[in-house]
Amino acid sequence: MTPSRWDRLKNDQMVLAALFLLPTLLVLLSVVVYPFLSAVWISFQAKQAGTPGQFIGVQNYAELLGNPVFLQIVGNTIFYTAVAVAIKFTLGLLAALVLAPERRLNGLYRTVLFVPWAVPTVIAALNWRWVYDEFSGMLNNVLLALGLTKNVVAWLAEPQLAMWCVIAVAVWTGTPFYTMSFLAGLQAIPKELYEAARLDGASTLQEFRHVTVPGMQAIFLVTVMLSTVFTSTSLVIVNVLTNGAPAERTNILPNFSFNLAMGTGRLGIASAVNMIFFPLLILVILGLSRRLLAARAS
Amino acid sequence: MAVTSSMRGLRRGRALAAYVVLAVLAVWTLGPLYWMVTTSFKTNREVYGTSATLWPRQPTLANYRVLFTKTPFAVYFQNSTLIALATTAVTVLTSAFGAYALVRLRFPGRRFLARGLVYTYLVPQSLLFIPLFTILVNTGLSNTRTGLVLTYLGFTVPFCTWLLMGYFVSVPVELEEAGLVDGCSRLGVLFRIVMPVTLPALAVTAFFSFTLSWNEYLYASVFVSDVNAKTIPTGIPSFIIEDVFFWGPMMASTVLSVIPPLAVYFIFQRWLLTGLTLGAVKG
Amino acid sequence: MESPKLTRRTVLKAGAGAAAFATTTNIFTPLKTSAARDQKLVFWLQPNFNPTADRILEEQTRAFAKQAGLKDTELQILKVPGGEIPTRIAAALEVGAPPDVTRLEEGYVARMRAQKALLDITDLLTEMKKVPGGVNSAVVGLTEEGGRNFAVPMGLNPVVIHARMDLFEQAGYNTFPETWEKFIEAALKINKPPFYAYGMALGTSPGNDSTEDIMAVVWAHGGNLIDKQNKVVFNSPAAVQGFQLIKDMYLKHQIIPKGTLSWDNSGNNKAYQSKQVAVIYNPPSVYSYLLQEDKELAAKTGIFPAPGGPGGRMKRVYCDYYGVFKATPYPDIAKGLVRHLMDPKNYNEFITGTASRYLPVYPKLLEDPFWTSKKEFAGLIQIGREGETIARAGVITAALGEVVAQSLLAKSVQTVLVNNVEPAEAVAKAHAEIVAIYKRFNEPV
Repeated sequence: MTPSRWDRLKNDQMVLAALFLLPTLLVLLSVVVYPFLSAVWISFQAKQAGTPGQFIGVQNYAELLGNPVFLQIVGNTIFYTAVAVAIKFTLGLLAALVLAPERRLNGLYRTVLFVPWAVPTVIAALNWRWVYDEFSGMLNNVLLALGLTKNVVAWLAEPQLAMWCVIAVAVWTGTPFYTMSFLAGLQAIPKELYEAARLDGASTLQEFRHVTVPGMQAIFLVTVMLSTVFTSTSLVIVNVLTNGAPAERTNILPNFSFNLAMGTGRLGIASAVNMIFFPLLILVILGLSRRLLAARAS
Repeated sequence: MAVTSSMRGLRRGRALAAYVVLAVLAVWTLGPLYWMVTTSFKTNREVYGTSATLWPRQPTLANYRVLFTKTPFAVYFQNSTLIALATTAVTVLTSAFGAYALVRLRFPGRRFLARGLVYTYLVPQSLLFIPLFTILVNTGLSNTRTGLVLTYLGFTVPFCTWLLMGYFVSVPVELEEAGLVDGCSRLGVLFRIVMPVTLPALAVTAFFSFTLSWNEYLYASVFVSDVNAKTIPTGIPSFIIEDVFFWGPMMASTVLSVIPPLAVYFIFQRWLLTGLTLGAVKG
Repeated sequence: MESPKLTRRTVLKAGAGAAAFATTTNIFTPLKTSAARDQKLVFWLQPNFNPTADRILEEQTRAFAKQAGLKDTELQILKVPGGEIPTRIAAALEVGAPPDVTRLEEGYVARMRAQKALLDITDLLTEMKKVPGGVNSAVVGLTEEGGRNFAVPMGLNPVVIHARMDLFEQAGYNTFPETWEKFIEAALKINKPPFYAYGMALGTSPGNDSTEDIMAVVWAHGGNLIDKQNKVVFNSPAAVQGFQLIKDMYLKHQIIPKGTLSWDNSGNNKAYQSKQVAVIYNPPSVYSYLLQEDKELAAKTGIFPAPGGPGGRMKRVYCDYYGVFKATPYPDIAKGLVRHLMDPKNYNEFITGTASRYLPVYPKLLEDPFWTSKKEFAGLIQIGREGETIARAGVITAALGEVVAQSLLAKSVQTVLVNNVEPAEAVAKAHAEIVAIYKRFNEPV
């Protein structure tokens, strides 16, 4: 019996592929690719919001690269991302290791540790701003009540403290992602490997190094990769807590670009900031994904 | 192997350490939450100044009342929910089909598309929002919830497609080929064999779509200024600047806005871990 | 496994793909212009930090809409906080969909005028001038371009010291100190951390008061941003002395709360209203709030011009304006709203309802018993009459507006306070940055 046209279509890979991928392609072309190309074009223009742009070549880039504040902000972004990711990684791993073994109330603990991820980031940032508030904040009130300080501390304005306070908020909201991913990764490691190690007389630390870590390599890299992107491109926390103060010490690139675009209306140079930042990000991701491929191959 | 006393001691020590770590993490996580929840029940006098109390001495529901009577919080809540649900539904369907095509079907340009997909995810929202705004206005979609959903797809679809690609890879090809041999069409294989196996993965996709969308701030604040279409993250913060004494109701809004994502987490909890396992290790 | 065949099927698919692509790109061409929107009147109402004021404005707007025969759905009142205005206007202008009417501060009037975004409303201003007593002439100049007017003044904001006179009297001062040096003396007696003497706005967020607070110190020493010819003259010994004084207040005497560096534009309001600081320098929005919501604190508050110095004692006032955007599809309705709000009867209701948040732009209204009956307002009125704009001898231009919008001075002061930059160096750098902005706006330096 010859298959009908419909049967043949149902099996033709290219038709199906086109059909299946059409929605994805539509979405990506219209809300990612086209705007991206548009943003690249704008970065070579002097464009004030509301007026047509003028092509000025690489002037925006020259202005940025010659501005020491811009370079400071690049440094801040790298520091902020690296430190936040490192702390989130450590805390997430710790939490996952502790939550992995079966235990009563594990479900409850997991839910509690998940809550920061459930709070919308901007609301969490506003709440933390309130916690850090110089006069009415929880932190100062607790410290004063416990007698640990005599005067209020301006957490978000002290040059040495501000960046760490911002990082703390990023860690608070982002750690659940690591915890969940690592928990999943831990559970995927076959129990037999642990038993084999124990039979060989391995200590807890050796178990960790020789069974856990190799088994988790893939998930480590994937999580770090995603988190690097999430963290370094998110401007909400910095914008709400300090908007870059004091003296640009807490300013990071996405916030800088946002303020240029929306605060002063300079869309061209704001786009240029992103165009400098984006390749840096790609390089980091490429580096990480290469290690991921190598890890998977081994 | 007999359990020696030193082994028992070691196990107890480990258990103790685990509980200490849990306690510290719980305090760290819950501390600010505690402040949020208690502030939402305090009167203005107890909220401000260095005489702020650690426990409400005069607990009151006034903040919640203000939130619902003086602000359009109910509207924001509804909008956030509708947008998140719509984004999730479209994302799950789109990324499921797309991921299957990229993993199982053969066609020219497959590898290029797969790699390109990851890169589209890397394009930050802070870069895209200006040209996106122009597009939305030109299509008459600015200030609408539909427009917002479409822009959210820009970051949920690549991410979820990539996740699902990892999961589909882990479905043994033999299962599908058995189906094909039995006379099933490719479409049938997709629906009757692959989907049920990767249900946990779909759950993870739905979960991430929902929370990413629920959380989103930048697009929502730039693209929507109409009060009737605003979401929680953008509606509430504007009151902080406007009304000088709004922290009480703000905390109330936080408490309420945590509930839907928590609910989603509860519902999907069972599948989340298995789903993440499959995808994480292979993806 | 089937291999791809080049058949009718593939050609059809290619054709379908091409058609899909064509329709996709069509999405990006404008389908609707702003004229196709539903509303006939879009008013961005910026909250005044005063609930009564907001309510009156909203009611008057609705009354006008009804008079003009608008249905409820055809009117849109959007509450946009002042801090969000830069973002919203930038976004709205970029896509050609600004509101019909909104309040604009001086810098914005200059910028929007330069961008030719505002509608010519000279006839409205002419009507306003016919009101007995006329309109405050000092603030009209900013609206003019080529003999036509593109905005109308809607309220004067004297910038004044709000001071806890109960504490100053306790410390032995029966009036507010006249110079910054004397102020620091008094402040040291009042300062008791965590209660601070001066809640000086030093933040860099949009709409911040920090430029005002910083210039108050610079002006007292004789410094200026621009001179009569609009030439940038910021770099001067006076400015350096001013920066040094701020540095001393913050680091040496510690009479300023450290957290001001990350305050937003309501930071100093909040600090004073929750009794954390003794003095702030702010428009009387705070005082009007107190008169309505905290009469006890209002009774303890004194209103004064900023302290002076070798450069004199400056009185500062700035004006807010109503502007109509040229892109409005219903200019007559938009102008009608402004006419309605500025009609002396409605306007007086608003002004007295805000209880000193604004001084009227019709000088005759100041003779209303509302103002003359309260002695607290006497100081306010005097400052309103004699106050100067931020440009002082010069003219407010788009570039100057940008300097304020960017909080350029606050950023500069923060480098002194946080990065240990010497005041002279910071002032020189700020001067260079201001010149760069003027150049970018093609304004003569």
